[in-house]
Amino acid sequence: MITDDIRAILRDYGRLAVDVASISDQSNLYEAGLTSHASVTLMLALEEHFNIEFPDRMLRRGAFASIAAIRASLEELIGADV
Amino acid sequence: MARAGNTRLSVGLDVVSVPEISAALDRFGDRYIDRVFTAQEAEYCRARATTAACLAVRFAAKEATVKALQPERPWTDWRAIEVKRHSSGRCALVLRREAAALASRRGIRAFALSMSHDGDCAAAIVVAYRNNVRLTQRSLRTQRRQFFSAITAISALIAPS
Repeated sequence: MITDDIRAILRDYGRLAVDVASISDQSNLYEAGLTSHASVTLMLALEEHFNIEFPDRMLRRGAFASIAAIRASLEELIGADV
Repeated sequence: MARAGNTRLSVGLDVVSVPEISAALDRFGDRYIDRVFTAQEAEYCRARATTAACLAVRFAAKEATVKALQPERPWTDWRAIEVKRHSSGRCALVLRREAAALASRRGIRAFALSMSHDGDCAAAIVVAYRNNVRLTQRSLRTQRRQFFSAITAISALIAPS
């Protein structure tokens, strides 16, 4: 469920060079075309959707490197299995 | 990275779409500005009729700086790199936190910045300078000191009491 939401937001804000449906949860999003600026708007859209805020420590360790990394960060922030 | 005489140059170039910045501004407003730009950058650009272009060229400068710094992972602390506009109109970079630490680790002594925008396009180029010769001499002096300290310590350990 949460992965579907991440993929939908990634489709709207990621500006990837490839179709989001064609990449796996482990695919490197930067290699798929995620730019620095798109990662900012992606972060803001995720924060809004899940009502959370990504702390700097989480951003530094590569929170947007992949769909799986985003999901792991969100689960940590929300504090529950989702 | 290019070499010119005794100075090593590191160059970063970035181009930003002004409509993309404008869309982010429309969608996220102050949250967007506050996560990416310093208070001084925001104040200056908000006062301009061309706010989106003003912010776009500054984001290009931040990204160009990151490219010149060559970090080992994707950059996230955009407010640690500030474009400071002097009263003369000249713009320069101010680095803080990890950006300043990384520049120091890279031996970078100065930056040159040039920015421009026209229509939908904003661009910036950053040149980082570091002087290899001085760094090498300093490094040699440090190594020499460490070598003699080690010799002295070893001599003290093996000297007959």
